[in-house]
Amino acid sequence: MPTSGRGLRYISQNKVPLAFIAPSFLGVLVFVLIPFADVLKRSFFTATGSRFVGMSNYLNVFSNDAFKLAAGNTLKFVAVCIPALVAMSLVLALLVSGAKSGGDTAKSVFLLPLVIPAASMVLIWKLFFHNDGLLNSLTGSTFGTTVPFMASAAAFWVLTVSYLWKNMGYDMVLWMGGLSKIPLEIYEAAAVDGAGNFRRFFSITLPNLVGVLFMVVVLSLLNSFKVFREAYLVAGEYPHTSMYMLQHLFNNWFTALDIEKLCAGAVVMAIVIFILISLWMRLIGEGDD
Amino acid sequence: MKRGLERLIILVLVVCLVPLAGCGGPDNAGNMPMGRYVEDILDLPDDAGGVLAQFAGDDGSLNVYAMDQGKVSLYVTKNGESWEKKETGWQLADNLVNTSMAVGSNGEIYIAAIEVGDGPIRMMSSQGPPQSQDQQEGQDPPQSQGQPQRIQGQTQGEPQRIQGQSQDQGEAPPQGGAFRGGPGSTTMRVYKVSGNSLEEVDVNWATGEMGISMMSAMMFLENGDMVAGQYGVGIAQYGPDGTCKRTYGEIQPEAFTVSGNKIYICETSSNSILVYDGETFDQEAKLSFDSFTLQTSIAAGLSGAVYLYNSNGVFRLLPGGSLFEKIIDGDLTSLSMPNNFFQGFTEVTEGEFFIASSGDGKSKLHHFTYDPNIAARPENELVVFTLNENRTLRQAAGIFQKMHPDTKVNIQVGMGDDGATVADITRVLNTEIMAGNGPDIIMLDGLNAGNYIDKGVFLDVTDLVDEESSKEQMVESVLKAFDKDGKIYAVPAKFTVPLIFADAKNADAMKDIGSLADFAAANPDIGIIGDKTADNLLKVFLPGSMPGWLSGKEINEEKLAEYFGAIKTMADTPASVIEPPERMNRGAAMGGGNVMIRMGPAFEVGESNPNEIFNFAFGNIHAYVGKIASMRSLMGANMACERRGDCVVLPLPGLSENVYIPSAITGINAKGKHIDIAKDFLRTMLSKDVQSVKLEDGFAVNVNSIRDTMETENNFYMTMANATVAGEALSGGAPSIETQEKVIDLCLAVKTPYLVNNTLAEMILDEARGYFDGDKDLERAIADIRERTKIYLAE
Repeated sequence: MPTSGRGLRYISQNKVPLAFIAPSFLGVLVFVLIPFADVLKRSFFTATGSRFVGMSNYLNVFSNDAFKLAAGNTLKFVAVCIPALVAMSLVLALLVSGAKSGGDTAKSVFLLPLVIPAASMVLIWKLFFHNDGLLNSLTGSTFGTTVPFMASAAAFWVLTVSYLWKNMGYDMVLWMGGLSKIPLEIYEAAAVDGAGNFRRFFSITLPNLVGVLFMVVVLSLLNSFKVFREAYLVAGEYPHTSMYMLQHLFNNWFTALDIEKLCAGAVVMAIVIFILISLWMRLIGEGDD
Repeated sequence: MKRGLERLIILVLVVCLVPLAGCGGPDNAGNMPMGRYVEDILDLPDDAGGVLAQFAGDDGSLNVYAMDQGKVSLYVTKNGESWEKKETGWQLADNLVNTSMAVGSNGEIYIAAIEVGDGPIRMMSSQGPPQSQDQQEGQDPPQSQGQPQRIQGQTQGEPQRIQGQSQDQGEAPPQGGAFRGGPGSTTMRVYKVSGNSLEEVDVNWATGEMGISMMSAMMFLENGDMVAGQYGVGIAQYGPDGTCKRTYGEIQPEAFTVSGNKIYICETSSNSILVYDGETFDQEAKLSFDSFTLQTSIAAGLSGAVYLYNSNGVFRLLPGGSLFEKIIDGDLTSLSMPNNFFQGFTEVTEGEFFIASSGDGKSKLHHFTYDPNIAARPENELVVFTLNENRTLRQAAGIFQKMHPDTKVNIQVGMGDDGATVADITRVLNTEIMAGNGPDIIMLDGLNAGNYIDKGVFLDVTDLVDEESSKEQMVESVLKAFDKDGKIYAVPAKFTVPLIFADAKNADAMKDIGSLADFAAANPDIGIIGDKTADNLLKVFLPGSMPGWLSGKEINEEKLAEYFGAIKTMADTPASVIEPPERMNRGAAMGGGNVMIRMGPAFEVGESNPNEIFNFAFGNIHAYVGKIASMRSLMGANMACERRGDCVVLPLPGLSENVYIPSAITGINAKGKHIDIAKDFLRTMLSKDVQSVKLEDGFAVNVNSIRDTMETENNFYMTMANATVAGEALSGGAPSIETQEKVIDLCLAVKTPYLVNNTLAEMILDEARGYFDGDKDLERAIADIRERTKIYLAE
């Protein structure tokens, strides 16, 4: 951070770019940073803000069984979905990029799930996973038994599949953007040197996609929280324990006016995400080096 | 150059931003607009009886014609300060009902009425001589006031039919025969007052497609034509010779008035007022009006002005105008009070009005005058939030505003037509509370009261409650329903009591849920109640037992198992299920944080389908469960008991004793802007002025008010018929004094509030369904409930 003298000189030398980012920064300040500061402040007070309680809200949150369950489910969801999504979307991107024809059509087809509204997604879920839905009709007629998808541990996997299906196209497009930047001459040179497909993939493609990998992972992580919309519309405020996420908990805390716990939980979550992304940045940064 | 350009751009931006700094709220520098109508409420003299009509006198006085047992007297007042009584000498016969009055174009007075005879209805077209105005000899007069009027009849002759309806030019009069009443018939009459006697006016009444025509109101145009609102016909215009010239509007007439030779008819379906010319019959205008309520009335004022009035206020249309201007805001007056039934409007001088209304069996006049020295808007605004409309709240607001003309009560109703759920509305409310912009008062019916109380949102009103309790005898257990550590943070102003009606000989079996189940098993021929499915039984008996197995967020599994066992016993008896006709979904929230639980057909906890009254009356079921909120809600079950013979009324059996459901639960926002005013409002809610008004939404917490509201219903009479038990009807008046006293005793004995946690209740009952369907045993059901409620309880 420049000192005040250097700071003024910095501003003076960069006033045009700073002027361009000022409106955006103002928006982030008003709608993100200041509210977060308020959340941080509220996390040390009672619900109505009338009394300072120190760290007791944080202690409450950490000892709260619902928070532990939700945090565990959320971490599990992220741990399962992010690697799967990254890998599957990369494979898809490679296939679509390498396709001689129909690449654009394939792109559109895979991007379609992203634009489907959450309410429509819910209808699709119900069509497939309801007790009287398509899958249960099949299992019922084939095996004589039905699976309560939304009322059992299978709910977690329904959520996972839904997330992967919805976000695959988006990540695929990001990968394809990265792939298109890799000069073809490198592949040709490698091919001339006798490198096979796998060797070229691991030695050329992957190293050149590190930057995109970082972005894909971060965006996928942020998108993973949006799956709450469908989960809420299908299963309500209290779904099966396997798909009870942090957003469910925060939503219920807000409805119940447990603002102090909500704020403490939100700060904890923000810190965890910050740590994760920082670690990831360091990892990628070390890879780059 | 570049620098100069940069500076110019910055200067332009600053110049653009500076005027925005001037944007702000209203100018508080003393420039408040002045002038508002103020209200004064006048009681009619005690001996006045019912208001027939009111007219403006030539000297700016108000002339009120009132009738008491057929004798019509005139009461005159100027400014409402005193009344002068004048005897008219008119005595109407006992068998004239639904009486109304109107003034003709030459100042003569007309009276219209239905003459009730024991013969056939003669309000349909037939040929025959006109009815003599003398009472028919040999016929008993109809039953006196308070008894039902029974009209049975048959058609005679060909009914006249109105062919189609047009909105443009009215309708040509019906062709063919005239309408006459025959001897002994029940028929409409119009009389012209001539000195002390009444001369019948010959009218060839128009009839509608159903051949029945009954008049709702009568007025006169400047040209002498009579305009009558007739059910089954619409608005009919009759010439001086009594023949129908034209009909206007829908066959079920809406409110209308006349001014000069123009007819103004309300058309709520299109949010408009239709204006017709009574000479040419042309529709002159269709004026827009979007503030209709269920009871909107229209009246002519002075100088050609026309007024609309309802609970939203008073709206004026000036001559030649096309818009109704709101001149009186109903929210600032007692017009918004739900117990008002408007009866008439009179403008006595420019800007001075009298509106007659009745409520609780009394007539009164709302006198409005314009005061230019009062602020146009009250300087204070008390914001009250309620999830659903609440009559007690509206009543309190009307009375409060009268006492505090400097404060406007702004009632914000959360549930509208926009499809928002309770959770959505709760989140919006919580956002406002957290932002420091919360309402001053929150009514907790339909919301989870515990959340707000536990989080310290509400002010401690223990002192206020103690103060009110010291003035009047209150039902203490209800007032303290939301007691927390000896402090009261929310106060119910009303409550309902779920009761069971059964044979006296079975009273011992109705003491608790276990003995009820044993009784059902021992008497399996007929069901405990009609719809004895497990789903319905769970809901009907829920208030009596839920407080026993759910306390805060703790579930007593043993008691829950006991409840389920009892319900299963009752559901599994071999008696058939009598399914009454399905009733409409009622979305009204109830007290104690309860909203309608969405399971199966529409229902409300703590009561059987009201149609089961008939099955109980005629011995098809053992008991009837009713959620009693007033004398009137008691009457149906009481009639059934009287029909059945030797019944008792007892608290709803369950795991808890003497359960009640609190409602109109009110809390004051501790961070509201008007704490003192909010406290006054709460005092108003608990005052006799509000508690003693019959609003049918619960028993008052004021004990004397419970007795007052019971007493005023003693003249009420009703008849019920239902397809459930075809061909049978129940009729009767108020319950006996013994029954009334018994119910009052039950009200005073209530001790356990039913403070349902709806979310938890839904989870529990959802998981229990498998047990009642036979898919799992009781232990498994309890285990599933434990698993399902784990998250909720852990939060």
